[in-house]
Amino acid sequence: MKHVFKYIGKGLLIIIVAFVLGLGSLVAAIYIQEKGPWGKLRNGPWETNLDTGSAEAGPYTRAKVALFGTLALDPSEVVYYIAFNDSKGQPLDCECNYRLEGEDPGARWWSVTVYKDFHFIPNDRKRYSYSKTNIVRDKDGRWIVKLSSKPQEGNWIPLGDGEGKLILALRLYNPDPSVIENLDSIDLPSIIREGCR
Amino acid sequence: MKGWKQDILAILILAVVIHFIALWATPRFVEGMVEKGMLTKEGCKLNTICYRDINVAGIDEIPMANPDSLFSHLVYDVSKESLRIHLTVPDTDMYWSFSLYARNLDNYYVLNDKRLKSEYSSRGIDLVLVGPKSHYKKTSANEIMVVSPSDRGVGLIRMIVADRYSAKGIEEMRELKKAQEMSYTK
Repeated sequence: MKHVFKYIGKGLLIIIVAFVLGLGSLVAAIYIQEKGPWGKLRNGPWETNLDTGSAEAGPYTRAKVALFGTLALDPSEVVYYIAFNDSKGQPLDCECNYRLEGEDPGARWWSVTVYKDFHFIPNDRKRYSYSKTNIVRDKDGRWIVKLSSKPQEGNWIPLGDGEGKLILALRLYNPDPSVIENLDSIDLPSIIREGCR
Repeated sequence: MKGWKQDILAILILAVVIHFIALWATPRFVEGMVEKGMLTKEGCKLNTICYRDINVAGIDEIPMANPDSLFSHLVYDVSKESLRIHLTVPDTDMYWSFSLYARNLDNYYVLNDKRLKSEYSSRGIDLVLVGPKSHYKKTSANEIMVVSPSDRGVGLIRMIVADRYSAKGIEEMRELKKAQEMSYTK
């Protein structure tokens, strides 16, 4: 009887270790194969992946998109740029203020959205994004969006209180062909840190 | 020592098997969760388009959802019979699309407002969604037939709202919501 328990215990241990190794190696493989947490292509602080939502996506991309970009569209419909870092390569931090500075990218419609832990940041203004159709531009057509937990003049997205992983998403709907051809070199907004609490 | 080698080999083989099963199962598991989430919304059932309010913080279940889009969703099962979907593009210049996702979450079909208007010269059309083993034949030229790679899956209608944050945008959303109901399954 004692031997039976010993074998069951050993079998369980083997299964648990195999589970940890199997799932751990899956997470590592997704990260390494996809060259980063989101994309294969980099453009400044922004990352993108042309396989997002595509039926041609590899199994690791498919798993990653399922988890973090559920129900994404094919790149001919939408190109998704994601930023986890600012333009100097420092991780985005909810405790800091940021300035997004840029001009309209080549697309039928675009928007920039801020997330904390992949979800909208609760705030009194219920403001989570700016887009081609509601951003305020200067006379040269350039724009600035301020990200801060304190009220700001002009285009402002509140960062709220509390900790979490800050993420920016830039969506380009029906992007121009020149955008698709130059995803890693087109002009995209800079993300500039302006001090921390 | 021999016993230890066998144990390590067993762990490695099992770990590789678990790795690939998890890789295969992840999108299907997530799709199952998405289906469940969609069907638990009030008044939602299989093979019926459900209309949703615009996302706000706290109810944005899908990670990194677009806050500027109104969604309608559909969970379909075409294992037994095809599904006829009537689609209507709202009377705006903003982006609209109908997209279909297979059981593994592949986005295998998209129809947007520009393509619908240019290819079919219409703001409304019937789309017939059939299963992978179906022998369905189109009944008219002005009908779109789409073969789903899996018996089950989900569909999404996206309508971009020009400015959800302004009074004008809120009024526009009211109109878009009326337009939402002009897309339905038959």
